[in-house]
Amino acid sequence: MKRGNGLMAKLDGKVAVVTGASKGIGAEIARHLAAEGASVVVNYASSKEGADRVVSGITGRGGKAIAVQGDVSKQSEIERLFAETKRAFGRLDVLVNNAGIFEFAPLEGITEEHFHRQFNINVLGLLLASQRAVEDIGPDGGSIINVSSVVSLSPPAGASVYSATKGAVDAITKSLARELGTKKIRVNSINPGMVETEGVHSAGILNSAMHEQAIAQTPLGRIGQPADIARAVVFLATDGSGWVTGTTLPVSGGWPAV
Amino acid sequence: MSAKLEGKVAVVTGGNSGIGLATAKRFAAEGARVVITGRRQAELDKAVAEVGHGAIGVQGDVSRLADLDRLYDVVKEKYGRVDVLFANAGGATFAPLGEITEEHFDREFGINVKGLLFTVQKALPLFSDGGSIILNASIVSIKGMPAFSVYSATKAAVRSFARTWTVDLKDRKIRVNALSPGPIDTPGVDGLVNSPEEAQKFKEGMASQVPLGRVGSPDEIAKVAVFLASDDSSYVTGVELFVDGGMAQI
Repeated sequence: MKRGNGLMAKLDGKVAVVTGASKGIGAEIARHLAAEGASVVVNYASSKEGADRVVSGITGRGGKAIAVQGDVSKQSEIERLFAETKRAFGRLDVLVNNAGIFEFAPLEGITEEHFHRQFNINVLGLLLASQRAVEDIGPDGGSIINVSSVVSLSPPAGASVYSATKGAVDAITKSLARELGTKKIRVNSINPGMVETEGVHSAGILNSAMHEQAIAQTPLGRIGQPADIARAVVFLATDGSGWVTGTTLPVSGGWPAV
Repeated sequence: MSAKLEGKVAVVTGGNSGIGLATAKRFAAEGARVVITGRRQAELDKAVAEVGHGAIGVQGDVSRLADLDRLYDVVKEKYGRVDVLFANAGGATFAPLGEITEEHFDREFGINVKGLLFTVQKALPLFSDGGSIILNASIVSIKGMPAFSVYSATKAAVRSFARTWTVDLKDRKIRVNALSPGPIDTPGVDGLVNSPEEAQKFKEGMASQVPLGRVGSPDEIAKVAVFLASDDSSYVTGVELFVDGGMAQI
């Protein structure tokens, strides 16, 4: 794909897998990577309709994308996700570990299910996907981007398990950056604050006291949009960040980095 | 899509070599109108020619406030505003505790902290709301390396400025971020030691501690500066972005 000004798109010929990309931040990441020329695998767990919509949006603009179902917390489904990626596009350069869930619960409300549901998707799923992706990333290396959260840096009350999963993600990012550096695979976390997604809408957060508080605490005076996150993911996926690895990048309007 | 900094006015201090020069070149290639500073006129002239795209050079030392006034007088007259500022000018020398002199302290804080502070403050009357300020810090803001205490303290101060100025400038939506390079192959690094052989040894020693297995190049910092300068980072502010091949992250 050529950009309007004649500059080459930055991800021409590259292949990216985005987990949990049927809606919200993941869908926007898939669209942005495709707009830079990448062939994109839109992974989803349950919303085929959402994933198909993301794919047709991309292909309608002349991009390349396919939807592949798979629960990232199940090894056999991860295997199928990457096998289908290889079959469709023949290589792998970028993995965006975006699939994740958040559930808030005070200490007394924590159950085994609450713990395992979040750790299985947010942590185990990320490890399984990364493990399998490294097998397919070629000798020129690639980029793994973990969608973490500012809660790893400033954990809110009533969110200990969710915050712990994101703390684990940041630790895994640093460990894998060291482990995979010699393979020229960069590993970074991106740490969004509150972002206006379907999940935030359906949780009734928009225009609530929590929303107002987030705006008041954010120097840029608004909550994030999926595109804010997606543009930063494009940066971490491309050569522009070729010397960046093992880092955690807050994309949060200054909250709580200040 | 257009170039990322089309029509923006960008000031880069210490733009005559190394990271500053590489960044000025990237900014210009992305469509910015670039003004660079440097202390040595001959090198500055050479750098201006290398950057091209109508770049302007203003000779000056950021630790001298009169030089900064002269810089912004030129910017005001020529462009009337600043959209992007890369406060990059800085210096480093080794001195172990026990051998630190007042002169060493004053020189490093004078350029890296005082000079950087007034580089930003004096730009504010010209600064566009919604613009981007990038402070060149270093991984030493969070790392301890031998004989580097004064330099490291200056860079910890710079990282702190990114936090407080994010809040000070929030009503103007000006983003302020610290960019912290690891070891980069620049003339500044060569100047830290006494011979090319020592420089080579120093870089090899550094490379062995970097997950990506080498020292970085100035252009690898410049590309990240473009990200922080452009709308691609529109929701990124107050952060310290490490560009170090992973060295300080693990």
